[in-house]
Amino acid sequence: MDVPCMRAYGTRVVAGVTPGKGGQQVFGVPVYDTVREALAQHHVTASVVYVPASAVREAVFEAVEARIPLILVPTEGVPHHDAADFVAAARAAGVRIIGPNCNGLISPGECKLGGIGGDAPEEIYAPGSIGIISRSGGMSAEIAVTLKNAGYGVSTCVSIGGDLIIGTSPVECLRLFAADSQTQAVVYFGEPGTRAEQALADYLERARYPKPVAALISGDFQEAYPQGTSFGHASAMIQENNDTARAKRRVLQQAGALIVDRMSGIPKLLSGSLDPSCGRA
Amino acid sequence: MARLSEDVTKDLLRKHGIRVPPGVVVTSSSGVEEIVQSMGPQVVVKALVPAGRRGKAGAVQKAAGVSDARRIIDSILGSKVHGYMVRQVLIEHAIPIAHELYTAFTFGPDGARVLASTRGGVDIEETHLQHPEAIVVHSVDHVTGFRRHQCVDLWRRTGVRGSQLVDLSYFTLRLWETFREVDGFMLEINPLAVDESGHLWAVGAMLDVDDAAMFRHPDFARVPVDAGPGWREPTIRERAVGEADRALVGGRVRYIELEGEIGLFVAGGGAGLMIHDLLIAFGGRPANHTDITPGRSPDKLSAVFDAIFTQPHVKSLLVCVNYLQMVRADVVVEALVRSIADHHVTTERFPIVVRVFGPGEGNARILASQVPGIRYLPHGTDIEEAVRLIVDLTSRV
Repeated sequence: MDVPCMRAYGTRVVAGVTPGKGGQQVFGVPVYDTVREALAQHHVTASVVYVPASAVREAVFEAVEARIPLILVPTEGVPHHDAADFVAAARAAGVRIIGPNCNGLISPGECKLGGIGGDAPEEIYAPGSIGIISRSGGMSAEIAVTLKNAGYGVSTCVSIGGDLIIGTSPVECLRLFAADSQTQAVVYFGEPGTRAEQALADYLERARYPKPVAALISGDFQEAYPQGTSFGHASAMIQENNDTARAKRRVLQQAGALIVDRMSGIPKLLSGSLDPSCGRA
Repeated sequence: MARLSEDVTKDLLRKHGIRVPPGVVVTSSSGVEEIVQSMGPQVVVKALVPAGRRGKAGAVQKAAGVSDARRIIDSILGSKVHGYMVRQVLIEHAIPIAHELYTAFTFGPDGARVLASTRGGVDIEETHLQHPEAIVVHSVDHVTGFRRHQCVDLWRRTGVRGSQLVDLSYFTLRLWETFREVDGFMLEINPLAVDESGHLWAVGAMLDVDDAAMFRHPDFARVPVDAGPGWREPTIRERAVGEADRALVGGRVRYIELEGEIGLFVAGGGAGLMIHDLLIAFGGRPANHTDITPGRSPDKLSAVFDAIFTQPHVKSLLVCVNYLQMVRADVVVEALVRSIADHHVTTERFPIVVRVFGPGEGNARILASQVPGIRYLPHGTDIEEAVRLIVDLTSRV
């Protein structure tokens, strides 16, 4: 269902790859047996890997070895050894993986990659100047709707993926947003587990980050349960005391991020730190 | 993650050429004479429960002879260790230990990590707190792999020297190969014992295999997956959801029971965590948490609704997923309506609030209207409002 939705939104889907189905057409898109063959016929800048977990490893390696610059992996339940292997291979090859276990990437009004926004992206994502980085695909939608209802729009939203091992970290996204002239502020959604927020805080301080960053971290309730319990995403497993939602908020706040307790607080906080004419759709 | 029991773990290690003490699993102390005489007289008795830190809990004990072994087995069987009932014990030959070392393999955000320490035989958590410098960590480069010279370097940094460095590097490399081959998520050898003649033994072994990789390991299909939260045994309902998850195709479901009375059907990560936090902030108490990725079929989702409706202290239900983008809203509501009918739930006594938007929402609303009293919130209602409503309705039940 994603391909027609992507095309309707303006994403130019030029080729599909399914071994054994070469020569066919799906939704009017030519299908090839290999990535190499597709690349010989088309100018390709990104790839979405719609392959189930049991076969995703080989498919991602094919895209990495073909040096496709941006590879989105929505697949859920990717074994850790596979994710670690292909993420490392992508770094070595100088290409970017987003995911696994992610919802996609959208630049409202321009194009989208993956299932993000479903069949009605315009209802959720209005064009504007706020960047969104979220572990959770669903939360990126909730944040975008909250912003839209308050009159703000989104420059680009990245669902980075809920797994422990992901291709593009929150810090890398922030770096891209810093350089993006369309983005004036960033909203980050995080969860307990991993040291991603510590890395984020270190980066904010080191880089003297030029744009306001609002952070919403959920999962306070997990502190009531023994360490090592994961209630949601695989990455959200509290293993150390500084993995908790509260500890994450503290380090981010010390690094200059704006901390919100509830989603409804995001627009209020942004309105206080943004130029009043900015950020509006 | 699926934690294998220690005997199964050790069988796997043995198959991969790693030296482990001979052992036998028993469910009672009868027949223990023969076992102890063949191994003993010194044996170690270990409770087979899927939990760490067993030494301190008295679940690992040395026995000198048959009568001692019998006494220990009788006292351990049927007792509880870290919330788990002990139904089996492992009797092992007691290795004459000269030194105790530690090694483990686990994952961080950049890939696999190998840990090594010369402080084995104690809880690694305690070593980590008191002597963090005693644990040496190597981050594996997944492009080039884990190499033997890195093994040597790792153990050298812990202070090991001489021929033992060579032995340890081979031993650790073989463990790494096993870890890769079985799709381990965590493998801990504690203690990694050096016996009086200098041989290395995996005396304590704990292995979590990656349940996402089960498709590569059909032989693990019989390994029981812990469907509970990890700090106690699973309830009947948790077990049923776990079984449905394994048996049915498409999507993934997890269900953990908690102490409260508001049933939660949430996607788990992200918004699910936020909803759970909000519920508590507004004075509600969740009866469970769920982690759900709907597939194309409603069957797995029905298993979760069935569990919620049959939980004894649940009084209400909030079905609250974020804007669905990849699956259909009507699949979720179809599962709900089916389970309501199966369990004769009446919304007058059992309030149900639904906030499900996205593809198939029109059809979902038609399906929901077949059950009078379901509060299907208007399109666009925010999550806070949905949570407030269920807390309010539950307080009036």
